[in-house]
Amino acid sequence: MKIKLSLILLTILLIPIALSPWIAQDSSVIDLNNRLLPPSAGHLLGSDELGRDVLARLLAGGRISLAVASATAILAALLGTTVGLIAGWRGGWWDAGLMRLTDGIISLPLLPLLIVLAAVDPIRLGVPAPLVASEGFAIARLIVIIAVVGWTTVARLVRAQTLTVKARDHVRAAVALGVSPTKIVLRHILPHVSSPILVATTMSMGGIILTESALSFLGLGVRPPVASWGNMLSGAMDLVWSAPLLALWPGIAIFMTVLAVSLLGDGLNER
Amino acid sequence: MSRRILIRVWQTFAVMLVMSVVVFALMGAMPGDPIDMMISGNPHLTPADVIRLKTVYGVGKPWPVRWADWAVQFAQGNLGYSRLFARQVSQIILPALEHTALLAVTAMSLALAVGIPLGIVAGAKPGSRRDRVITFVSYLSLSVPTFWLGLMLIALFSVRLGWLPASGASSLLSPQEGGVWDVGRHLLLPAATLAVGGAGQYIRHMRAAMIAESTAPYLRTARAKGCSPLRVTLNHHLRNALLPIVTIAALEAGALLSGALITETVFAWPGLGRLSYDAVMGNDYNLALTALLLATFLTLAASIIADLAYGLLDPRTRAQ
Amino acid sequence: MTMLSLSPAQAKDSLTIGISQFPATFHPAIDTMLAKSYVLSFVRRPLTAYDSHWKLVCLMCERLPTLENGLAKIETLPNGKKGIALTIAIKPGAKWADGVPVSSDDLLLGWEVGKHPSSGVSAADLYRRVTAIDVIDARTITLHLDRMSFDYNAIGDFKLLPAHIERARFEADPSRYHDTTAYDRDTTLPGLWNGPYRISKVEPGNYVVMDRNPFWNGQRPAFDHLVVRVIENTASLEATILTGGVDMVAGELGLSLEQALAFGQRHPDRFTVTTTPSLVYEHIDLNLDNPLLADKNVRLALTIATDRDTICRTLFGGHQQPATSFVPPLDQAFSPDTPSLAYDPQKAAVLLDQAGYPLVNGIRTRADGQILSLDLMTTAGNRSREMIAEILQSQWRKLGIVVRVKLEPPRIFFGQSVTKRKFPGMAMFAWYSAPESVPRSILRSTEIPSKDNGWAGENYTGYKSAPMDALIDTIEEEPDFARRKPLWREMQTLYNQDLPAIPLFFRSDAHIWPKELQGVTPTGHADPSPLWVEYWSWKQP
Repeated sequence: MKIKLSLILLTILLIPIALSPWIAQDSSVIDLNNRLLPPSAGHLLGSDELGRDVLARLLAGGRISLAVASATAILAALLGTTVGLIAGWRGGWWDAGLMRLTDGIISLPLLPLLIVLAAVDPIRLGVPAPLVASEGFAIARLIVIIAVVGWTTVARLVRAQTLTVKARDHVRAAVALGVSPTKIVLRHILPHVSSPILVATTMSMGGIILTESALSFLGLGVRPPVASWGNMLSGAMDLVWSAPLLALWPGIAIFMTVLAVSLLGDGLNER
Repeated sequence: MSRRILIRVWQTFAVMLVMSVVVFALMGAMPGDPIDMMISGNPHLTPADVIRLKTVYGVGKPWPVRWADWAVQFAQGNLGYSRLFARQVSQIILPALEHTALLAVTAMSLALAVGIPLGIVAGAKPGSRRDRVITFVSYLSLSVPTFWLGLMLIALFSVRLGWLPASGASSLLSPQEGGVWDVGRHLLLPAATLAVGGAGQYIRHMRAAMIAESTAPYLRTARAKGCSPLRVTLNHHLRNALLPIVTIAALEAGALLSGALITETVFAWPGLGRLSYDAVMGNDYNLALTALLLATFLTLAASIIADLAYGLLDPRTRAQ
Repeated sequence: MTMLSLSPAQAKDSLTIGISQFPATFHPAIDTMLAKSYVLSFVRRPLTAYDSHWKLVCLMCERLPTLENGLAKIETLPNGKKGIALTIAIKPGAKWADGVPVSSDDLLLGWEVGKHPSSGVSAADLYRRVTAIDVIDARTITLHLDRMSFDYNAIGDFKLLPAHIERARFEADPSRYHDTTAYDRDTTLPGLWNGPYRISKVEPGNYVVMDRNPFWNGQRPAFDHLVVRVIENTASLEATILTGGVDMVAGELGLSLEQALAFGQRHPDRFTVTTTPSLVYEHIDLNLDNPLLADKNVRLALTIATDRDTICRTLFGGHQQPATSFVPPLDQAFSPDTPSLAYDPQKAAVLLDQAGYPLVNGIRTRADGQILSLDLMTTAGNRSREMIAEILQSQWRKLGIVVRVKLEPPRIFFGQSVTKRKFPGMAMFAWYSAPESVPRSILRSTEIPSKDNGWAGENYTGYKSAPMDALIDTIEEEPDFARRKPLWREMQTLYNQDLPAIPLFFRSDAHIWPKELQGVTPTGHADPSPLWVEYWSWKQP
């Protein structure tokens, strides 16, 4: 039931977003003489403070927000899986050390740490200047910093599962046969931990979208003129008294997405 | 068990030490300082002034040196001087801490007071209409951005209805300034905003715990023995279902501090979250470090307390 | 809709003002910050200030020293150059809020602190120009300045410090004075303040409470108490003024112009929104080292491709002025007949074609394949600027110029991108100015920041022009305005021809007052309106 509902929601969201490059208007066309218009035939959801079509921006913003959320979730899952597998498989000092690291990161206040990471100048850290100046750098950076603080849940899950699976007969047989550890981990253990990873990753996407919108509110998320749901929503806050509808649409989009991935995660969990 | 606590305490300090180094190093990678900002604001600043000011304010030594200086002072209890507020850090941190503590404790209490009963009601009869409505509400609460919710509450309760103030922690110049009623009125909306996310979590976990426990054999035994249904619920079912909530509450404490940052900005609530943001953005090392370390410490302390509480509540762990 | 009176902010004996930033320090001479000068203008009076008509007036001094009234005398210095001696008397009866009279000793201390190399004072230039001070009597001194410039008597930057409180702290250790000053250690000491009010309570980051100065001998102010509340989030600030948490919002440091105008339209019955043109010059500095910007015609094309009039009309409801040069239209130095920079996309297209950038597939491309692509950098977190950057980007795109908008936090933007000339193409920001302010540090060729000179100077564009240098030097030393005016005209003409920067607007401040408040006179420049707070009052019902 939950899975069905979540898939319906996701379809409603994803299909227009996927088709938007072909069906929607150009979201960057500025028209100062038609600012803040209510919904009409030419602008189905009205126009924003610069006269741009809200629907087109919403769809373009969706592409960015969902891309950021997926990429971050996947990166976090990769990091967490790596840590969890090593800790669970190797045991001993590796396990102790990695788990202390994990616990340490879990215990940090998330948003303040993200603020520090987001405000750092990458050039001073040694990143070459042309890379910093390139188009996608700001977004890539956002993905990296959120993933870097977000891999801990997956790490713990994977470690627990690894410990369980490690004790199973087929794994012990493989060890006895002298199969290389890498092959054991990848072929015998990984498939069994993939299910909890999938659930955790799916559910984390909701939190990532909310984190991105919080960072945008603080001026540290995806920056204009690139649209994301987060920066559309926080930008609309300044106009909330004069044009409340502008905040409605990205708010609903965020809400529907987070709801859908939560339902999906819960539904998968229950199976 | 006391050995475990000692280990946890040691870990706390280790984490804080590492955090201080990391934050210091990262802030060292932030360019610009208040002096550069002055330049655009004053047409009469000459170039010689700029060089002179930078020397006066000590902006120039490499970061490991400055970290060492800072660490020595911090260990002696000297929190340093805040460049952003031109005052001792201790003078600024303490009032902010009080305000955030008040906000966080109120928010957590509200969240528990709303979340647990709703979770119980939902979990008592899974699948019922009540359950479905409550579950939907819990999903709602987990999907809403904090700043949006805060402004919506202001729009409704302050602007439209005029019942509550829109920002600040107290009415200034009023005879009731600082009194319980005055602070309470200012506290209500920010605490409610902050409580929403936590309430959703408590509803979900309470409900899940109720459902999980409901199939436990000891409950059937108790009912078979003839205990009244209410007594069964309260004494047995509930007590055990509450255990995981303690852990969740500890995790929520960390989330509360992050959420407080946004809430405090929206409501101009003079707390630690907003302070740490201003300090980081303003390159005020002493203040930022103290604020961030304090937040880390509180999160870690919350989880130690949760561990202790869990140990006390769950007889099974006590036996270890 | 019933609006309960939520707070005593509407009690008639007090006034609560909302601003969007808190002062970092309360010392008058250390640190320059708009928030600080706004708050301090309630509680301190400088010697001189420009009023709302942009005329220089005496506030703490008795008479403005001029060459005509003999209080200013030109002197010849030992090195042959011309200096000037100004005799200044403090207003009779002026007292600090603890009853101690304001005296020459306070002026002397201000000078000692100001010229000390490690005292942390920011704008030390004026103090250093004073070579000697003669004390004539308890409230009169003569300043000897080593330079003669036409604005010789604008000495508002020469700050008085209460000697009876600060001298001891300063002399104990001058290099730690910025730490030990009572202005920050003990802000509520009455003797620190000499205005109609004194600071009685401070909560850092949140609010400042001010009470009457019992020893103020000027016009009696109407309010017993004033509160300045800081609310950084502008949506919250709007909600707060609607619910009575603050009575008014300062134009100098409150809502953005568009927000204030929209607010005024929604609540015309309760609030008045007043806009004042200001001296804040919003512009785009062009990095003249960029080969794409080396050609004057390309710079002109960039400028006239921007429709600043439409932006002002639609975004700012006509309340903000497009800039026709770097001098504000209300300044007496302004000259209207300078080369026009009006919107003319056809001419821009022709100029670009002639400069060797024909349109190829909708993008201006040179014969060798180089496309006309530039970065526009500006500060993040300023919604107006972000919107303007996006609008300009789209206007330039229509002409085939590809512009990428880069937003940076102010610390990075001012910390290095601008001040170290690391912006590759264009940088949009604002200069705060004073009436008839000579742009020496911005336009003179000796003021280009570089590694060799320690990044000193504010000529971020890298503009080098011998005629401009000569004009700057001549205007500075010319005491007669009638002779300066044509020189100003020449300078503006040269600026519009060379275009080291693209003029955008002169910003307007938007003040929000409740209908019952009267007497506030916005100034539109660095001397803010609270310098005349004693004339503000509630209207009688």
